[in-house]
Amino acid sequence: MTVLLAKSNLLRRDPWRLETLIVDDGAGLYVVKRRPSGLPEVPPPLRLGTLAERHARLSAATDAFALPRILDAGEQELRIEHVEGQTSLAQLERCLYERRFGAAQTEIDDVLALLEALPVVAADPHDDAGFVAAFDGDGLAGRRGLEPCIVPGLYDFGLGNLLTARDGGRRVLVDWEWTLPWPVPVAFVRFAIVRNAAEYLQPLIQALTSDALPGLILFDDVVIPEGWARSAGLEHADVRRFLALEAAFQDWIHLMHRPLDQYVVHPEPRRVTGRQDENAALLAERLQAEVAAQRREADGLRERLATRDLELVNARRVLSDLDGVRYSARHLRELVGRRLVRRRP
Amino acid sequence: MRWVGRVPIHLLQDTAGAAFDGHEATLHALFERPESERRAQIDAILATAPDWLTQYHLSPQRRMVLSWADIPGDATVLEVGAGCGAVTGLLCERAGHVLANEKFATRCEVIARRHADRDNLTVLAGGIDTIMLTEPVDVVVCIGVWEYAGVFLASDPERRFVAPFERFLRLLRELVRPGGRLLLAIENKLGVQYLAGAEEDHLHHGPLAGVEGYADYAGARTFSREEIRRLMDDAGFGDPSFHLPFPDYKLPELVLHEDALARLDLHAAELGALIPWHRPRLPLINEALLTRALLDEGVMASFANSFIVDVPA
Repeated sequence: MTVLLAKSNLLRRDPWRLETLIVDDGAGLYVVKRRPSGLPEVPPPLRLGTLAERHARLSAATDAFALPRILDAGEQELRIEHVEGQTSLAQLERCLYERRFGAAQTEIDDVLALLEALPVVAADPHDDAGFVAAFDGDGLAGRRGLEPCIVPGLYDFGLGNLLTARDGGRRVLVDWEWTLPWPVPVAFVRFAIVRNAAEYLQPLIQALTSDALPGLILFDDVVIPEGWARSAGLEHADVRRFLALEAAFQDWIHLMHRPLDQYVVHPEPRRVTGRQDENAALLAERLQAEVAAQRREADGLRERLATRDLELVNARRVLSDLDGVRYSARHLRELVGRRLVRRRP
Repeated sequence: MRWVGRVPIHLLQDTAGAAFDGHEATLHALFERPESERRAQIDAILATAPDWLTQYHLSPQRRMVLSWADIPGDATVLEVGAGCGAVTGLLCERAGHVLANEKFATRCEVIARRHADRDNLTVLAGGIDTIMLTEPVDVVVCIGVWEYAGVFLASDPERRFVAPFERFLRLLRELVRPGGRLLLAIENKLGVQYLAGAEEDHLHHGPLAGVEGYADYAGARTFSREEIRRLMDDAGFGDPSFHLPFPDYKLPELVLHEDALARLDLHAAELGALIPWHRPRLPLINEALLTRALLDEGVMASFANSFIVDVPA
């Protein structure tokens, strides 16, 4: 038996700690999800077995995408079918890497379209105590009244969790851990999809931002490709609220998390068409200013040099005059000396 | 021999008073508390996003270095250089008996306090060259220690760049029974983080020290994948499997078997985003783009930041 991949976040709060393994037992690959050893038992609503219940709930809610089959559901671990394929995030990365920005946009659009296939209801999610505990524990997000919400609340519909299977191309959601029983605003999930993809691929996006892939900076210095933001229907006015929901959710799950006040939401979205170009322009501007300053300093030095040259000429003139005086004085002394000699009897 | 709770400490060598990083006294006080209080207090400390060294000692993420490994329930495990016992608890949960060896007496106290309720743990206080076993063990675990062999093992000055590391492996080889295995974690001197300008972790002499062959070598160094393979072979071990922890073996979030690079559809974002955050660096290169290129080239296994080497004896 070989463990090909092991992944975990043991810095989550105790009930949410989970390990995921991809195992090759010689006959094929399968996935194991298990609670890490050495942890205390958790109460039933949070325990691993509910992953199977969430699987059933989500499978019943939509057939827009598939879920991997659960092979064995035990109290301590779940064995799950391993689906061979490529994640949407990997496809997106490949599209960007090969400068196929249209294909990248299509990938984003396709994933957002899958979201639309989930049951949507008009609800005020803040009416649900579960939603408030998970997404607004500190009360910073604010109520919006009735809004379109997904039920069940599939929050983590990330591109890294969505595979295109190698056999037949079906879409498979390989991680449904955050299928919550509460309604979750659709606009917030759309924001999370686009934001997470952009943040994962940020080094690539920042290197490629151009007229062909213009970006928007809404918070911090994260560049979200403009087309992706448009497809997600992302409104600048909603960004602070979405970040508040996200920060509260991370606090709910993780021991170490980023609080809302550490995000910088810009007063206006900034459109960028080339971080590299912008840097170059900024650099050129700084260089020009530096050159101008150096020129001014050089002019000043030249003026001072000219003054010094003049002073030097005058000094030489004075020296020359002094030489004349000295010559005259010596000549005079000689004359005086001779006279003195002559007067001696 | 003395006892802390259920844990005996055997003194192999007198290293009393020696501490390694200055955290030992704080940890000792923390682990004197009962288990029920201790867990909540550690969570509270971690929630403040403490400095890296505090995380290194307290984070449960440390366990990820071997949580995936299949360790038989009846195995005797020797942990060489157990530090302050961050991984020892995991080994006690998995194995039949654990011998936790640590050179520094103050750290041995911390290990014993931390796991005082374990009845399958014995602490051995002393350097690796003082360990005497009645019989070799099934599994030897050695995490983040081999790279310091040149500091604590004497050798011919002419050969001190290599000889202490060879001797260390031979000592490990003698401690594990034929058919047993060694699980060893070490950083890769050619890791992406170093190519990208991160400070060498053991020297603090600035970037590229390992990549350029340790010109300022003073006893601590790491190796490349092929160097490790060769040194393991010379020491009499079998053919090693390399597991690649990301961002490194110290606080890993993801551990890949080297074969996974070819068998699973991985994206560079998953690996490239996992760069150790604590290390000073020159911004020489975009790690994510370098990682993509190395994955495409099929050579990422040689450039992972760290290795966990699983090698049969």
